[in-house]
Amino acid sequence: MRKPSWLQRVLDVARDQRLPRDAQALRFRVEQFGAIVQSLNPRALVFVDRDYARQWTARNGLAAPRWAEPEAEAGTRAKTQTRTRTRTRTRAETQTQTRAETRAETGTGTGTETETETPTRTGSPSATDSLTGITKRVLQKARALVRAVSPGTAATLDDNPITVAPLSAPLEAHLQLTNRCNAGCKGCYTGASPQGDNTSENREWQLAQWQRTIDELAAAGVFHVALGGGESAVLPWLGELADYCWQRGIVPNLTTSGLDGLPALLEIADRFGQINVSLDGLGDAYAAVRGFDGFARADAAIRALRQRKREIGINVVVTRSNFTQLDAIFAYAKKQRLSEVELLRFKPSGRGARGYDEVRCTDAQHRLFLPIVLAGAKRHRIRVKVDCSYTPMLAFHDPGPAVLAQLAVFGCTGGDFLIGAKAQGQLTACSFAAPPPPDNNGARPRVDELRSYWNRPDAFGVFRQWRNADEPCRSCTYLSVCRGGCRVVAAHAGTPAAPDPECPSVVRFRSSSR
Amino acid sequence: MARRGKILAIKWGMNPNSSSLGVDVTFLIAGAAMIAMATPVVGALLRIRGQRQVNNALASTSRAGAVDNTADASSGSNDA
Repeated sequence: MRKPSWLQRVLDVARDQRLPRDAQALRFRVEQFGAIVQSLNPRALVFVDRDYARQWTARNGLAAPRWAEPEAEAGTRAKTQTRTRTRTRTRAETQTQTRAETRAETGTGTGTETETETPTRTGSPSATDSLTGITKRVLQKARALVRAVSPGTAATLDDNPITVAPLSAPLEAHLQLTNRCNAGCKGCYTGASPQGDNTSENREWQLAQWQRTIDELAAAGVFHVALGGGESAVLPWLGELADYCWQRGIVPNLTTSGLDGLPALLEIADRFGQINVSLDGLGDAYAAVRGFDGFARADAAIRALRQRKREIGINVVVTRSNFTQLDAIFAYAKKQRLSEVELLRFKPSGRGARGYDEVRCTDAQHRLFLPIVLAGAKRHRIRVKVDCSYTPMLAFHDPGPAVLAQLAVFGCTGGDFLIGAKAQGQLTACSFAAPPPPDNNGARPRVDELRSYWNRPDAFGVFRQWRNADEPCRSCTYLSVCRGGCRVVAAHAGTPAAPDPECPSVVRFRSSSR
Repeated sequence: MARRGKILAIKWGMNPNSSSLGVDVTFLIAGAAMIAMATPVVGALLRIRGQRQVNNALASTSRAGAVDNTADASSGSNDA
C-alpha cells in the first residue's frame, strides 16, 4: 500500500481535530417531505425535498428512497391543514402545482424546481422559446427569492412542508444521565441534588441502560444526543458512552457546569462534538442567578476546556437580573475564543418554578431581546444561538416566517425535533416537560422504547397539537414556525395548550382585548 | 431531465444544550438575502463532499441502501 504523503498526514490530523472519531460519513434519513442529510463539515442538518433526496441518492450510488405517502397526498394533507391565513392561490398556480406534484409522483419531472414554475418546459423549444424560457425562469426564481425573504410573507403549512407532520424520529435526544449535582443552583430546572433521583424503589440508569438507549436512538435515526444532568462530568463511564455514540453514528454533545469532575472531563473532551459550560453571568451576576459564587470555577473550567478543544461554548440562562449583562457575556466569550454562546430562556421547571415570576425576563426585555442579541453578536463577532422557546420573541420582530424556517428556527419542537429522557429513563417531550401519563398497565414510556411510542396518535399530548392553537396564534402568520411558543411556560400559567403567555404578540393581543 | 430539488432548511451546528433545541440566529445579522445565498453554497458542498464521504462509508459498512422510515420508524435511518 502506498504510504500517505506528509501533506496527506497533515490534512488528516487537521481533519481529526475538527471531527473526532471516524464518523466522517454523511447520514441520510427519509422524511415525509423528502429527507434530512447530516453534514459534519460544515456542521449542519440539511432538510431537502423529495427531488433533492432522489438526486442525492442517485448521485451517491444509493438505492432510491421510498416514501410511504405519495407526494400528492402529502401536499393535499398540508393544504387541508392550512388555516385562514393561507395565501390565496390563483387557479393557474394551483394547476401548476398539481402538475408538478403529478410529475414528481410519476417520476416524469421536466426540470421544474419550484412549484411556481410553469409546465411549458417539455419538448424541444426553439432558440426564441428557449430564451423566453430562460428569462421566465430567471424571473420566477427572482420572484421566489423575494417571496422567501420578504418580511410579512404568509407562512402557510403547505409553504412549509417540514411542518406537515411530525418527523419520523427526533433530530436529537436530550439525555439526563444523572440528576446528581452538588451545586444546588436555586433555579435548577431538574431540581438536581447530591443524591440524584436514586430512591429505594428506583435507581438512576447506568452505562448498560444508556447504551441500550443509544442503540434505540440510532435505529430510529437520531443524529445527535445532548448529554446533561445533574452533573454528568462526574460519571466514570461518560467517556465510554461518548465512544459508544460515535460507534453507533450519533454525535455526542455535552453540557456541564464546570464545577465538578473537570480533570476527568479534560481527558475525554475530544470525544464530544461540542461542549458547553453553563455560565449565567459574570462575576457577581453569576451568584445572583445561581445563588452561590461559582464564577471563578466555571471560568477556570472554560479556559481549561478551551485549551483542549476548539468547540467549547457557554450556555446562558437569561433572567431579569443578567439581561443587561448580555453584551458583557458576548465580550467574554469572544475574549476566551469560544465557538458559541447559547441563550436559554428561564423556565418554570424544577426549582425554577419557585419564584418564577420574579426571575423571568419582563415583557419589555422580551421585546428588546432580538435587537440586543443581534447587536451584541455583530459587535463582538460571536456566534449566538437561542433556544426554541425564544422563537416568539424572534417572530415579534417579523423577520419573515420563510427566513426563520430556512434557518430551521422553530418554536416548541418537543416530541418532534427533540425528546428528553429523565435519569431513570422516562421519555419526555423535552427536558422541562413531565413524562407522559402512564398507559393502561401503569407504565410510562421509556426512552429505550422510543419507536414503539413515537407513532402513537396521542404521543406527547399537547406538544403535537399546536395546529389547534387559540387566538392570537391561530391567525398568526408565524404559527407553523413558532408553534404557539413554549408549552412548559403555558402549563405553568395554567393551560398547557394555550398560547405562550410571554410572547410579546400574545401580551399585546390580550391587553388590547381587555 | 430529473428535477434537481431544493433545500428546504438548514439547521446549523450541533446542540450541546441538554435542555432545548438551539438555533443559530447570527445569520439574521447578515439579512435574509445572505441566508438565501447560503443555501446553494451548502447544496454545492453536499454534492461535492457527499460522493467522497459516502464512498468511505460504503467501504466500512454493509448498511447501505435506502429504507422507508416514514411508515415505520423502526426501520430506522438510511445510514449512507
